[in-house]
This record gives sequence, C-alpha cells and structure tokens, in this order.
Amino acid sequence: MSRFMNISNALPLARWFGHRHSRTSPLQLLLRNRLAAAGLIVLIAVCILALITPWLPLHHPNQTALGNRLLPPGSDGHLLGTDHLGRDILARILWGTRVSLSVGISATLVAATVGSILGILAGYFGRHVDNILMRGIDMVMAFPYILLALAIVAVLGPGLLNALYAIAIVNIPFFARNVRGVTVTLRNREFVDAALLSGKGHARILLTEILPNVLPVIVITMSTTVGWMILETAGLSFLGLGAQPPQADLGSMLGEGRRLISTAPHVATIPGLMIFLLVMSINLLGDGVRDALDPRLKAGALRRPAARTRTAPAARQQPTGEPKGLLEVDNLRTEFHLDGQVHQAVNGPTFHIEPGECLGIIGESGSGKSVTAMSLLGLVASPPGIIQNGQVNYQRQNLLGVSDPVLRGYRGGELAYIFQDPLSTLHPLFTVGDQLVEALRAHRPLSYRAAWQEAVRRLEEVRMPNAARRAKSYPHQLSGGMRQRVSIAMALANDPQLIIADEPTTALDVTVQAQILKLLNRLREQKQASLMFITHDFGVVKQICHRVAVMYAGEIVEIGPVEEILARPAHPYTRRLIGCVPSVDYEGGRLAEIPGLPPQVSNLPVGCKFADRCDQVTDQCRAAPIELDTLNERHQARCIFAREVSA
Amino acid sequence: MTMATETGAPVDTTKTALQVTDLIKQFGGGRSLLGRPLPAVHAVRGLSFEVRPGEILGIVGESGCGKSTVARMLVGLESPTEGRITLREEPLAEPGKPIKRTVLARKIQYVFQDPISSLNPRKTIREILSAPLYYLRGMTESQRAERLKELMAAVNLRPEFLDRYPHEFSGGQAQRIGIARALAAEPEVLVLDEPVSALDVSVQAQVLNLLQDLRRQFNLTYVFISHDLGVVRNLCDRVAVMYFGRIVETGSTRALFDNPQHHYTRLLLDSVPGARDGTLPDEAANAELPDPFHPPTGCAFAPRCSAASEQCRQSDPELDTRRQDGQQVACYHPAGESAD
Repeated sequence: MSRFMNISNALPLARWFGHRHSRTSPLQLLLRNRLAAAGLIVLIAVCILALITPWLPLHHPNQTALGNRLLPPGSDGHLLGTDHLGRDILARILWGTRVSLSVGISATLVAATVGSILGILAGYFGRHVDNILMRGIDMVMAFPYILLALAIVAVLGPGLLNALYAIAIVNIPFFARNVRGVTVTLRNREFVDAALLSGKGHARILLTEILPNVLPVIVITMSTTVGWMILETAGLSFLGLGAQPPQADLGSMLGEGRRLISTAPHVATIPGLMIFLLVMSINLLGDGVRDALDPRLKAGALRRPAARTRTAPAARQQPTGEPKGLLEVDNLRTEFHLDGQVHQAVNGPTFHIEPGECLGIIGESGSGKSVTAMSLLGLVASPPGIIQNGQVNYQRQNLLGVSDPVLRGYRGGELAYIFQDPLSTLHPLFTVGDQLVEALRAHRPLSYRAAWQEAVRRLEEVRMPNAARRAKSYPHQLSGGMRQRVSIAMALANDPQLIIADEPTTALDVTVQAQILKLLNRLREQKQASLMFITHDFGVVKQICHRVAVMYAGEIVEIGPVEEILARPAHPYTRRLIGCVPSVDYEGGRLAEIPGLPPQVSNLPVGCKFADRCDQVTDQCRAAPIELDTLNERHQARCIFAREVSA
Repeated sequence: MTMATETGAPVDTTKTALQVTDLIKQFGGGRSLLGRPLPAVHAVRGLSFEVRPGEILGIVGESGCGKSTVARMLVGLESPTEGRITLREEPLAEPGKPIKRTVLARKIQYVFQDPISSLNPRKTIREILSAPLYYLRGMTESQRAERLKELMAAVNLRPEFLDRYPHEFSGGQAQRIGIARALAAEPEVLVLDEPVSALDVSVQAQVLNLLQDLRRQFNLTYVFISHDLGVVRNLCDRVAVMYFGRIVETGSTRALFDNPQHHYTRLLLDSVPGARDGTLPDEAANAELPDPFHPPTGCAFAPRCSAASEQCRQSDPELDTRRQDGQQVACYHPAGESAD
C-alpha cells in the first residue's frame, strides 16, 4: 500500500499549503534546528576570535624561544604550551585559524563564482554550450581530486595562494553540476519564456530571472563544501605544499606536531581539535542551511507520515444504532495543524452511500472533497492532518476506530481507491502485471502464477487491448488512458464493495474520459459495487451519478438526486456554479460569474461560508451556523432561503 | 465589409490579421556525428489558417495534437521548420531566418496556461509588469507608473497588489496578471494557450468575461487554444479542430458545433459528458495517437474512424476549400454526406 500513502501525502499538502500559507523565514527554520544553531554559535565564536587575533595580548606566533621548548598546556605565560621551537601554541592556533578560514572561504568563493557561471551558462543555453562545458567538467572530475590538487600545486609550486587555486579548481565541478541541474529546470519554466516575450535579452534573463532563483542552491552548495575546502587546505599544508614555514596554518601545525606525537602529544592534538571544531561547526550549520533553504525538504519530504491519519478519541467511538446504507459518514471533521494555524479542511459532512449507488461529490479546489475521501480510510498525511471528530461506519464498525490490521485489510480490498494521476500512483520500476499481482496477493492467498493469470483477466475486464502482452509493460510505456485502466483494474482486483474515485478523469482527454466513464459505469453495474465519484465537473456528475453532494469550504451545502439538483438547485452556490459552466450545446452569451474567492479554511466565518459571495445574503446568514434544511426525503440544502430558491 | 460576429464584436472580414501558411514543425531530426539520421517528432504537419482582425479563432484538440506548438511558433518561442507566418502581410517567421523577438513581441503576445509558474516567484508584480513597458515600449519611469495603474484597472485588480509577490495570489488573480503583462506590450494579437484550464469554473467565468471585455476595449484579435469545447463554443467566432498536427475541420463556431463534418469533431462533441443526448460514444479502447516519429501516410484518424476506407489509409485528405459557407473539412467521407 505504500504507493497510496505517497499520493495521500503529496496531494493535500500541495493543494492546501502550496503557496498561500504564511512562510516561516529561513533564519527561524535554521535556529529551530538545535544542532545547526550550536554549529552557528561555535562558528561565530571562532570567527570573532580569528578576527580580533591581532589585537589580543598574545606572543608573536613566529617568535622562537628554544629555552621554552615543548612546554605542556597550562604553563605559566603559555596557556596551551609551546611547540618544538618554543613558539606559543595559543598564538599559532589563532593565527593559523585565520589563515585556514580565509583560504577556505576564498577558495569557496572562487569555486562558487566560476562553477556557478559555467553551470548557469551550460544549463541555460543547453545543446553545444552544455556539451562542451560539461564534458570539460567531467574531465576535471575524472581525476581523483586530491591527486589533481597535488598535480596543480606541483606545477605552480608550493605556497598558500597556489594551494588556494588548486582547491578552488578541484571544487568547481561540484558547483557547476549542481547549478546546471537547477538551471535546466528553471529554463523550462514558463516565466523564462514570459521574460523573453517581455523583450529581455538572454544576458538580462540570466542575471535577473535565473540567478535569483539559483542563489539558494549556490548558498547550499557553499555551506556544505566550505568545510571540505578547509580540510583540503589543511591537507595540502600538512603535506608541506600549502603554508610555508614559519607561517602558521592548522594543517602545517598538525604536520609539524606529527613527529612529536609520543613525546609531546599536545602539539598535534590542539590543532587537530581546532580543525575538528571548525569543520564540525561548519558542517552542522551547512546541513541546517540546506534543510532551511531546500524547497524539496521544506515541502515535507523529510517528514515521514504515519501509516494512518492521527485520529482524536472523539472520532474513534463505536457506532450507535443501525448505520445507513453501505457506508455512512457522520459529522466528519479533518483539520491540518501547520505553523500554529488550524486549517479546517473538512467541516462535518454527513452522508451515506447505498449499495450499487454512484454518489458524486462536487466542489472547487479547496472545498475539502478530496480530504473527505482520503479521511475515510485514514489516508490523510499525519502530520499535519488530524481527524478531530466524526464517524465512518462500514459494517457496523467505525473505520476511524478499527485497528491497523483491520484497516489495512479494507484498503484495496473491500474499499478501493482510484486517484487522479495514475503515473504517480503506479510504481515506475515494476510492470503493471506485477503491481496487480501484488494487489491481489496482499488480500488473497494466491500463487504468483495464479495471481498473474488473474491479473491478465482483470486487465481484459477493463478492455485493455492485448492484455497478456501489456501486463508486461511498465507504466511509462502506456498512454494516460491505459494507465488509468490499470489503476481501475487494481482497484477492482479484490471485488470491492465501494470504489472511491478521486477525479479519475481530470487529467485525461475528453475522448478518453468518455471511455473511462463508460467503463466505470459498466463495472459498477456488473459488480454491484458502489461508487463515490469526486469531481469538479457537472457534466461528469450528470453522466454517471445518481445522487450528488455539493461541497463548499469543507461543508456539504446541498445533497440530493442529480436530476433534481440540476433542474432545481436549492443552494445559491449550486445554482451559480451550474450557471458558470459554459455549455457545449448552446451559446449562452455572457457567462455568469461568482465574484470573489472562497474563504480561507484557516479563518472561516461563523455563519454561512458562502455569504460573502452570495447575492441574497442577509444579516441572518452571518449570525449563526446554517443547518442543512430537508426539502424532501432525499434533498437537503444548507441555506435559509432554500425553499424559496428551489420553488 | 464589417459585420458583427456571433459574440458581438466587429470583425473586418475582408482583411487578414494573421496568416499561417503550410506550417511544419519537427523536433529532433538532423544527423548524428556518424551521419546516421536521427528520429524526428512531427509535431505540426502542414498547417494553414488565417485570423481576421478583431476575431477570436479557437483551436481545439487533445493533448499531443500540436496546438501548443503552433501557439509557441506564433509568438516566436519556437521557429517553424517550414512554412511562414505573416501579420498584416508582414512576414514574422520564415524558415532559415532568425526570429526578431522584440519586433514580434510588440505585435503578438502570449498568455500562459499555468498562471503561477509563468510568474517569477522572486519578483514583485510591479517588476514583472514593468519589463515589457521598459524593454518593448521604452517608457520612462513616470510613464510606466501611469501605465501600470491603467493595466491593473483593465484587469480588475487593485493597484496595491503591484508590490506583492506571485505566491500571494490565487490562480485567477495570477492569470489576470498574466493577461496584464501580455497587454502591456500593446499587441494586436493575443495568443492564449489554455488560459483557463488551470482555474476553477467560477474563476474561469471571471477570466473569460474579462477577455471578452478587453477585446472590445483594445480592438484585440485572439487565437484561443483550448481543449474545453464548452468554453470554445461560448467565446470563439471561428474554430479549427486539430488532430495529430493537422487541421481536420474549420468553420464558424455555430456551423461547426451544429453540423460537424469530420468524424473526429463528432467524436469530440459526443464525448463531452452530460451534453447532447446524454449517451457517450462506444467504449472502444483504441484511442491512441499514431506514432509521432513515423506519421502514417493516410489520414491519422483512420484507425479510430468508423467510416475509414482504403483511400483514407493510402493518402491524407487535404482541407476541402470548395465549400461556400467557409466550413472546411479534411475528410474523404464527411459525416454530412456519408449517407449516400
């Protein structure tokens, strides 16, 4: 079931918190990470010490005093002792840190500048420019980098500046490759085309459109490589190719102390500790910077959602009395808790599905229709999702309260899902036949061979041409319509009682959509299964649903038989939503529009949620929550004027 | 001669705003280093149409039919492999000549499908809308400030939105900003590539009505690309139906919707759920396009067509230009005449 979990994670997160939620600043994110904050504090302390070193009351770092050779730490006047020439280690450490830090940072800046320029040019212009630049980079990467650095220093001659060049050159590929990758994706974004059409030239687009979007990546790469660069500088100095005596540098101090490791261990240990402290603090900070800036991590890729949605005790109670229909949903409330805000996505819809019935759930994006569907089997990602209240009653059990194994048995068994985008629900590395076999064997004790035969039969059932051969193909080898057929075959694999289809035809072309709708309807009739069909399209509802529930801001505003609602909508929202849809059958003149936007689910009004956009609004509408008004046995609407409107 | 169209705007039927002749676009192709020919995707396979001043031409088709490639060629984001595009008899794109993008951008502008991703997330709306004013119209700062206010008013957005970033806007608002950016260049023609398909229906109606108003206000000509037949019927004056890189049928909106001649057009219209008589076409599983690397010699729709004959598989029918009413169809056995 892991692939279902993935989509349940991605969908609502993107839709609810995509771009409108308040952003936490990167600095806050960084400081919330304790390790990164500790790294930042240590690094700031080291940097301040290195900066004020010239004004500290220290010995001269190169002043030799052979009488004071190898004094241990804590000696009078030499806090950290002296080395084999009697030089004060404290002074040398601080001066050495200055050198190592400045060489490491300069090398990073040089590598970042050159590497980013190469990467941006290669990624933006592509084709030949990309080929030439990136093959050059590949050549640099083909050598083990420390050997390459050694070779460069050998040619240029030993010395700190040459070590800096060597390290910078060796690190250019890291920047070039990272930046190129990001630039390629940005190049294909539409805002670059838009800038071209605004009359901007390529140079200007690179500087003003691409670069600001690449900067976070450059900063991330810098923060994760500067530690390496300091280590590499120390390495070259250790080998005697970097800092030349008598100049102090952490690497050369380590190299000089190495020979005395048994007689005076502190001479080597202290610079070693300093390198450790410096690189560790930089790496911790670098990881923190990456976590704070990387959009992929920010979107919650690191947050592993639980196997089922967190459910409050209020929602876990056993049903009282006889449940209605095949599946009954009662006062379901699902919330997302994010950044200290509560987003009330689902606000108490109550409905049931009869055996063999097709119930449509229609609503615009953000109306809570998908979250409602996913809440039924606990597929909403937690965190941040939580089911606060309500019941989902199936066979006298509240599905929100059953144990994990029981729930797992229902998922993909008696209760099956079909999602909008089969490309992201099907696993790209397994053949569709294998995935069907997995779905079958998860619920039934079948041998692989028997399951494969069953899988082919299921593919034939969804009218997949050449089913036996197509079972061996991978999802990417099939067209969108064929993939959706595979998803349907998977949902039907274990003869479900209820199929929950979440916009299964939205991503498809109209001729393919027609076929899938026909297929679903035929299978529902053949199998006597119920279908819960989530959509935003009234045409689809009219085509295959018996009853429809209209959702707005997490509430059902109207529910009833399809013909009745289409002919006499009782809620102003339903009426106006139908009026918005341009018909293919006739020209309607100017389209009716609904002004304004739906309310934010983090700040819902007390009264009618549609009041701000309604042309019939009165003070009474805003005063208190509006209850569903029963118009007849099967038709209800959440409007105080429902009887007048529908009359 | 000027006549009122179905949507009520004046269209000069004697003149041509935009003319496209024998347009072909192939991606890939050429030869490898060893001289072997590389495979080429035939995205657009010989397209000709014209748009009259003040008219809305709808181009409909399903994914993979090449309609977005046509749109990108019209605005100069792609250059045609063969064929030419002229605006008021002035050539805009000819094979082998580099695209003069700034010249083109002053005359034809583009509205993108995805309103959010067509706005740079790190720029304010003011910066985004100022770019065409500065680079294409060369306005001074005070002129720009004045024009920005006009543009925001034209698309019904409050001027204080200018200093916000794209992520603060809903899809419908962002699409209005996209339209404002296209208008900023004061173009004659707007190419709209599925401008409302990412929007909810209630917001979609707002944007479509705005487009109608703007056309009258600024005397614009639209090329409106869409897969939504309901939207096309209610917005466009004329329609061209594309299938696999070619136009299979074109005509006035009313004629084409009321009396579709090509079997593909019929299939499209019958497939719209909840419309017509309420029955969907047969659940034939074969809905796949031909291989774009090796286009068939005959009619591309023949494998799916109930009226297909040997002739259809042998040669590809051209658009029939003999008809008097302006409706043209590329079919040997048009649906209206299939009875005899």
